[in-house]
Amino acid sequence: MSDNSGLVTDGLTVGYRPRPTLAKHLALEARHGELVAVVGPNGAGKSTLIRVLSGLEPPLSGMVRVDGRNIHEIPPATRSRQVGIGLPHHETPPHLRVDELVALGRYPYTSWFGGLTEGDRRYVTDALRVTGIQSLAQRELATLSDGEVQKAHIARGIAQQAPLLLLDEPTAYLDVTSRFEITHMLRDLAHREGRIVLFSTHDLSIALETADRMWLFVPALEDSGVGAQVVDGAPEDLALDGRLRSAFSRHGVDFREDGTPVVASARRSAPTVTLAGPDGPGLRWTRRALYRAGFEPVPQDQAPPATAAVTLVEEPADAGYRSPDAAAPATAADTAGPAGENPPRRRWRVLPPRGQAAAETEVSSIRELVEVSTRLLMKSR
Amino acid sequence: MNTLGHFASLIALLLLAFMADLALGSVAVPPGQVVSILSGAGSSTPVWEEIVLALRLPKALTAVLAGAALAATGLEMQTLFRNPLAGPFVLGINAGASLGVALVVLASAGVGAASLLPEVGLPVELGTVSAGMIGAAAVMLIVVTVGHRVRSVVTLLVLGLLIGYATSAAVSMLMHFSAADRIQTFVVWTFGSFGSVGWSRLGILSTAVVIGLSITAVLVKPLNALLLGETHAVSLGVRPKRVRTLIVISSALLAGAVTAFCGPITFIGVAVPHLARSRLHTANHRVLLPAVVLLGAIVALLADIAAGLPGLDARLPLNAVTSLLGAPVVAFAVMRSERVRARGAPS
Repeated sequence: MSDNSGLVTDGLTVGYRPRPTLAKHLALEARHGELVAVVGPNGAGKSTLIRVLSGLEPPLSGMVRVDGRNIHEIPPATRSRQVGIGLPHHETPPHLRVDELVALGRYPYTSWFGGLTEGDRRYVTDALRVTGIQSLAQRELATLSDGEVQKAHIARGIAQQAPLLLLDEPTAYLDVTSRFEITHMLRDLAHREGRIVLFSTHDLSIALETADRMWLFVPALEDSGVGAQVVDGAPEDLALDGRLRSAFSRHGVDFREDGTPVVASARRSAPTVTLAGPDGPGLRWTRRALYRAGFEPVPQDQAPPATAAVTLVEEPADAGYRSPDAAAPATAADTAGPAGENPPRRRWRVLPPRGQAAAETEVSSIRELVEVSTRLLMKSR
Repeated sequence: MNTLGHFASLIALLLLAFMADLALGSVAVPPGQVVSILSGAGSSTPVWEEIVLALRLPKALTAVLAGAALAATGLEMQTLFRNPLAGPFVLGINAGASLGVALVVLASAGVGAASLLPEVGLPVELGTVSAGMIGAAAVMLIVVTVGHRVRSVVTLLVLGLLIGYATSAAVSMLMHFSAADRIQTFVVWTFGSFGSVGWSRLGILSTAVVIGLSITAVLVKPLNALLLGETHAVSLGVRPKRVRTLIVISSALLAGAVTAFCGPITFIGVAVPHLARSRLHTANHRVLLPAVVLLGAIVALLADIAAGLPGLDARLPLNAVTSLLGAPVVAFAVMRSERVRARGAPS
């Protein structure tokens, strides 16, 4: 640490007195302008850590410093200008409007009667704009969807103008689109305004996709006497040095190279299948499908002898019109392009393992491919 | 309708209900005569002047004060406990006041205690009243003391309920060993009435109510933050213990005084905040507190008018009327909050 800025924990131990300690001697760090994902299995202590970081709960030992100041020594009125929080279970009081909720973020700054100045109103409008819910300003909270309520609460945190924003499970109970929308919004917020935005989640793929920094709860090894640890690093570093894998593998979960979790126990006896074809979305989705169906797709040169082989064949959709996608499948997006661009026609050839009497089969959809390969390979066992 | 419009109509309603309460009763006084009596011009019938000035005016003022006080307390408690059923009596305030009154009325065998006010037939001795206030304050003290140690507001709610049971048990025992006429006096007090205060004690009641409402006004900002739950409120800078203590003190003053003077009046404290929220479509206490004060006064006046059975020579117990008016409102509010809760908390 060259300077005091940012969020730093020093020998921090969190937990509850009657229960065993959740995590010991944490040395974690977050810089201004970073989106930090606190990742770990349920019950690991993510929420407790967030409550301690916010100053609402005392640590068992150690210290939390925000820009050099011990958070637990800042008086509550001042602290509310330093730290904003959002908890997963929101009250939705009847008749409370979105703009009123967001205006409550100005609480630390308003007079005793809670009246808003012109400046306060500007912060409220800004927060509504940043979260994209201006059109909902006059709506009552109880009439919104879960994602909209979540955004309104984040807007309240933004209006609070605290340099540190702590959100516990901001994407819980949300659909995939809202999850990505909200985490990307949080990342922009951190990057643009130089705040530290910290959120907890057990959705690893979202954390890998958006976070600048990951605080990863590594559960305690059973019978080892070693307590739970929280490791701190760039998500990619944690993935590359295997710490991500080890944190989750104890729960029988493994990861594909893209960070998508899979149940490890189901993979142990996965039969290998060679996969060949032009690089691009077709090949990626095929690999994914084979993986999902319980196979281990490998490139041709790594395959043990006597494995089944799947070959993807792609042809331009029609000779008269060649879409950019069809012309350059290697650079195309993972999903079908905008309407009007024709994806190439795809076929799959499935060659049974050597020594099996069946002939080569050709299919024209992944559903059939999965069916055929499952039938062939189950027979070979 | 905008907020200003709502307040204008509430004030108009209040004036109307106030005039009606003065005019209606077992003897109807024409509204014109009421105005003339109030303006000091006197009346063509001296009895009317006597009825309006000596009886109905203090009764109507008491109704205004009591309604406002109970409704404001109900609003504070519903927000503090985030519970639509919270009201001035949930914490056992009425039970404490009842016990105080019961001790004086039932136990002290007439030694300078409850005499009967001839015109209304209710105990109004100052001893009774202060005993009620002391009883209410004692219960609040217990709740405050324990309240500092308990984290969950639900625990506090259950505690109030248990105190209520304990004190009613004590009251039952007192009643069992009391003379019939004392029981009669006590039971009449439990029916509730705005008529027992009179000019002489209006000063005490209004002082308690004004102080209580002033404390509540200071709490408007933290009450708004408490809508989000205690943790969020604390993160915004609310000091929960201080706020809780102030709420408890103000409700002891408001509900304690009203209960001691007028009997344990049911439902106004629970129902009026719901009415105000659904009429004004707001959760903002800066708007709700004045609205609840006005609406509480209006509802109390209307209940008093209804209890007086205009044109008939009889009176209903005030509590019967407030329960009949309040129960449907509370039932509606509870069902509504169930719906909100069902979609608000996914887990």
